[in-house]
Amino acid sequence: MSWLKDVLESGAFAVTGEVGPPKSPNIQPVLKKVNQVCRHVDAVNFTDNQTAIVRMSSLAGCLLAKEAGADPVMQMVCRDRNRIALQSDLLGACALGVENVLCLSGDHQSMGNHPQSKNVFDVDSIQLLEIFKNMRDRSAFQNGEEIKSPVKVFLGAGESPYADPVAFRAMRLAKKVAAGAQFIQTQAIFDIERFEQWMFEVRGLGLHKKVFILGGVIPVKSARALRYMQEEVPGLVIPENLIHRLEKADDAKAEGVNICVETIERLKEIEGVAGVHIMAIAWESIIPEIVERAGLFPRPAKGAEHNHEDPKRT
Amino acid sequence: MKVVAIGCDKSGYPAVLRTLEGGCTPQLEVDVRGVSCLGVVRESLLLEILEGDASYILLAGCPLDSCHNLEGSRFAKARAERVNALLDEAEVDKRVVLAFVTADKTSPIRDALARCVDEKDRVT
Amino acid sequence: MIVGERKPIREILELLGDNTTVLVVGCGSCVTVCLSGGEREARELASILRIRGQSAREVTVERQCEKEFLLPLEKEIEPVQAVVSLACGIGVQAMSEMFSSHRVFPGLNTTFMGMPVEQGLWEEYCSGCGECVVHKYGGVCPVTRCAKSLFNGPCGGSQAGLCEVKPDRDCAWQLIYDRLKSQNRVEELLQVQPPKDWSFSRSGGHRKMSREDMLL
Ligand code: SF4
Ligand code: SF4
Repeated sequence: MSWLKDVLESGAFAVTGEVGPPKSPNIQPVLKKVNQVCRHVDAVNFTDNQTAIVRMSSLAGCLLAKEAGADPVMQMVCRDRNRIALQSDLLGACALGVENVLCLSGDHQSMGNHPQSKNVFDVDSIQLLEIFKNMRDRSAFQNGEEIKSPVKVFLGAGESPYADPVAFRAMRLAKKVAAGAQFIQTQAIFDIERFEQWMFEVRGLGLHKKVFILGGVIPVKSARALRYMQEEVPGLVIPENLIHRLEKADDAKAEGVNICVETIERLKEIEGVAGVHIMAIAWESIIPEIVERAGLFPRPAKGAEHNHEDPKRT
Repeated sequence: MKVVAIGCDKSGYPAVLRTLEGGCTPQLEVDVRGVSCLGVVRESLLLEILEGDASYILLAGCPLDSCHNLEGSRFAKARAERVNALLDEAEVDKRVVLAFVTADKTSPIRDALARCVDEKDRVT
Repeated sequence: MIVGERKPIREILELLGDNTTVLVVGCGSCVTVCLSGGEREARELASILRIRGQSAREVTVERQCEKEFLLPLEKEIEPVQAVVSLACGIGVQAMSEMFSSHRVFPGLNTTFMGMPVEQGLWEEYCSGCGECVVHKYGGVCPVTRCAKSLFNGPCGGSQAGLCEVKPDRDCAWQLIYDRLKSQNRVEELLQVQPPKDWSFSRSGGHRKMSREDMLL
């Protein structure tokens, strides 16, 4: 069963973290990162060749995490696989007990380390959600053929409250929910006011009652890193004053953690925000401190009641 | 070495004639032609001339901002650049050079012709 | 129209290798309009080859992609060692089929189906997906003009109306949104569009079209 789903349904403010699999078949970095974070998060995301750079597959990372006792979230992008491969991998994930899946469009390959490759984009992330929902709820493949045994999956999607056209953003979330999204992990939040505005629109559409929204945060180590994100990472809005704060700080790393913790404190107050997703890129070791300082530790304990297998629950 | 000089009747042509009368770079054999405006000189004509034995074409016209026909010199400049780019790509060491003058000026023409000689020296 | 770009001359020279008698064949249709393979460009290329000492001639036909227009070329082609076609890939293939004993080299890289958007600038508009849906998107093709061919809305990276993948280009979804908004049709975008049937596209294999009523 999806532990993440249980936590969210219990009403607790959920915490998820993110692990980027290594650019090698070495399992040690995966296990190390999982061990660093697993007592402090309810689930761990494994990215799918993020920024279009070849890495260990998300499914392999998920399996390693699961064996190490964590609840993994498998990210799946539409860039590299057509509907045949995507459905096949969902069956595979399901067979191996990986039940949280986050459906994304994916970064374009021209941004990564194999810009000469051909992309797929057979379906988009919303179509992927719908395909997976039907595989679960109607036991049917995309072509309508029957799937002989039940597919269990807890479906997530990304959302970027800051990208343009801004007026379409809440509507796009509505589409994702209609297509099957049960939880949302947002793009990193630095401009909390604009996030609040977006949540206001989301509540206006009643979406916060239909989907669990986890606000994304990124702890940053320096003003330079933040400036880089402001200039280079699409879909992010980073207020100048945060960059100034880091510039002025004696210990920029500590200030970066402060900003992250403050953001989480604000998120906890926003109606309709069900949790936080911490993307500590190449800095997974900081996650425990952030979670503790944000007053989110200890995490709910996996009790015996969650071990039973009830097919109706997913 | 042969240079074909094409001059605008209002400016470049008289300027080239005047320069040559004043005596000029002896290594050069200059074939002078007049046109009503440099704007009439197309890429195809430039290339056709270069198919012959000329190594350089000198386009001499009015100053860019006071072209008698407004845009003639600008067109000439753009076309010369395109042809030079093609020659460059094809690794041919022939070139189109430009001089923008009024009818009574000779030094820009002399400089442009000197450039032809210099470049040729450098190439060979 | 079909848009193509002339290959670098150095590459054309490499393709030609030792072949010194060359016929450059231009095309009077699309590639004339996009200033890459018409009469003017054929003349320029032949001229450059001659300046380099090769024996080159040029000729331009109205449409290289139709064999009728190629028939009169037979005499010109016979004596040459190689042909450079400045038409799109279709023209190159038509020439290769017509004059199969000759080597026909492509002088252009055929790039896309598109249109001139301003003087000296062309943009891709259609990928020939075989089942046109632009009416649902305010007349802006998401298959072609969105870098990720998204059918249900913009990705998370569109900013200031520009595409995250190529920031010197409009985000197709900004254009779609703006167009539908101006038509008061934004709600239509709320409909989840199901996966596209790509079997009509190149993904379904090589395509043919037949018209029974037109067959002889
Ligand atoms: S929907 Fe298909 S046919 Fe229509 S413009 Fe786009 S690619 Fe071309
Ligand atoms: S920015 Fe716009 S055009 Fe570019 S990939 Fe995203 S949605 Fe498509």
